[in-house]
Amino acid sequence: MTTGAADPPFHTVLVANRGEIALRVVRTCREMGIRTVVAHSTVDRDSAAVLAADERVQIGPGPAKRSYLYPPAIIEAARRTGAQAIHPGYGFLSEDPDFAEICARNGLVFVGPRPEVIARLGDKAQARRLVAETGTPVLPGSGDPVSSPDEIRAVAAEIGLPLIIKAVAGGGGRGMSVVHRPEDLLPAFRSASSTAAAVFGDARVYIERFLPAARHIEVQVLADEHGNVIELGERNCSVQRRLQKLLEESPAVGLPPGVAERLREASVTAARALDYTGAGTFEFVVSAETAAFIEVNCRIQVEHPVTEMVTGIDLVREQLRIAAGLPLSISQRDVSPRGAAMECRINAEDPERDFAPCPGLLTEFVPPGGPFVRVDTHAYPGWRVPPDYDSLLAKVIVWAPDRDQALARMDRALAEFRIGGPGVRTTAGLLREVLADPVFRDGRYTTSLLAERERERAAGLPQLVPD
Amino acid sequence: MTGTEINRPKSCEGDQVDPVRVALAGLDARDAAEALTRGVNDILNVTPRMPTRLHLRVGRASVELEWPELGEVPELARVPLGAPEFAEERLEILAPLVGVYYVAPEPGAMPFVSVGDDVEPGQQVAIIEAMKLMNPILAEDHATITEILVDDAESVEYGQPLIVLEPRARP
Repeated sequence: MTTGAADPPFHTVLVANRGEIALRVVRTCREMGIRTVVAHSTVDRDSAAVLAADERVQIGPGPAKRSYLYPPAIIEAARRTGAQAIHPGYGFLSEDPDFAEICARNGLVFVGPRPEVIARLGDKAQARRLVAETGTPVLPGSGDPVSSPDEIRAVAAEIGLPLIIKAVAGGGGRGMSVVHRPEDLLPAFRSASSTAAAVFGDARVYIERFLPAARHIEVQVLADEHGNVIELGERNCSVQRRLQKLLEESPAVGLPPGVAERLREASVTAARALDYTGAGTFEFVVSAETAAFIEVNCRIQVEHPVTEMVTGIDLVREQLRIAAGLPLSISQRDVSPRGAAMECRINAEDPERDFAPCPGLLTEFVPPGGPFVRVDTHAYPGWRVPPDYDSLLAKVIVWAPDRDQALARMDRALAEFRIGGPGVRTTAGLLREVLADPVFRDGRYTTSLLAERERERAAGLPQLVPD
Repeated sequence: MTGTEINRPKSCEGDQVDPVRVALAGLDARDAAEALTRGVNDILNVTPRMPTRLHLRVGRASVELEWPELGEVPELARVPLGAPEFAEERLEILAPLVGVYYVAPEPGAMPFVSVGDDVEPGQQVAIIEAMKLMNPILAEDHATITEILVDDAESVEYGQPLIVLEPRARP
């Protein structure tokens, strides 16, 4: 079967996800000598992850509700294939405490934190309170969920505008609404609440002060069941379009002195206090005046390769070891980030139609290569981008000894990338504009960079064009 | 595809004696149905494309046909209809979920169905167990079971064919 390392932590792991992350997990399992099963929907029956896996189980139709989000089908697939553990990837059931609990009850190891920890941190209002108790600053906000117009008016009067309304059960930038004017407060509250109910099945929302010119910085941690907690440096994820990340880099540049160190320490302290296990990310907003905690992501993240490139540590491998009850294979002393890494997300989206997803047939798909370029993708020529799921096509990750070389390398790689098909458009062009943007290049960029550029474009101001 | 509406000849309609109705009075429902089926076949054999709707009536002899708008639907391959061809149509019951297939309500009990059985829509034909929940698998057509593709206690995945059936005319 595989010629992996001796003594793999599991003999069989089921991957309950799709796309590039399913393939990413299969690859590390293969290297570790672990047999893989990919649970897939009918739409994904010819996906790269399915073709790479040792075994496959078709668990349901295209709509995720009846396949990737349907625990009974996934548990049955694990049982019939003799899987010992389930890797949930990101999204779908990866942060669902009920699913983690169902796995445990069925004698399966869920690769992630314990269910009660996911539940505590999945309630974003509660997570804010718990982390604040560890001494880490949080943004001024409601603390508890707000449920009535009177309450929201009172909180708004206290913390001031602009503010951001977030779903208690939310994450990944969805179900958030920024309020700049007092008259928008109640409509935004009602719409955020109903979106939260529809998307997350939980209408509760909470409120935080919104920092318009802030950086989104996150710290990667790993924690095992033996009390070892380490951090693997930070990532700057401030290049966002409507609260969705598009480009991430490590180390973070342009932060006030000492801030990155403080956030890394705060993350380790909080992870310890929260009894966290597995791979996790502590997210912060950093402005000129403040550095405050926003949320914890209890899973592997889309942008994890950035950290892997600067540290040389395979995060999925550590996740699997932790899940099997093994101690971390590295200590904090072994973590010495080197050089600069960057990731660009190539989404199948049409910039001319307000970045609407554009599924369709890929007639041409030639990813870039060359020194220190990594492409995590599940796409191939002749593959049809399904309309059922998110639009991420590929992640281009580069490493270089310093940030300037990494920028040049990323631009070279994106220019090499050839993606074509009837109606298929991507974010590659927009990302090259970001790489050429002076504000991005000198590291002064904040989460409002892309919104400002969009406004300038709309106002007909001169634009920067790469090359 | 096509739907044929078979109406029993009515015993009285209008004041005048209709010679067709007199002739039809001698036919029982089965003969009338056969006459209609032949009529449908004759019509389909001369039409250029498959109609979306076909309405026949024997009393006062009306025929109505509807076709899709040109370009709306790709041209369908002509499927000859008729009693003998009907028998070759194959129906399948597919697994609606991942789980373990059981032929009987409990171990050792009589199976829900066997090859050769006639089933009705809504009749239970098997169980698929998923996470200790017994999910009944139901027939959707008036049909006769010709083959059972899965053994008792075998695990099945979503969309896997379980039972092959042959349709029967509605009673």
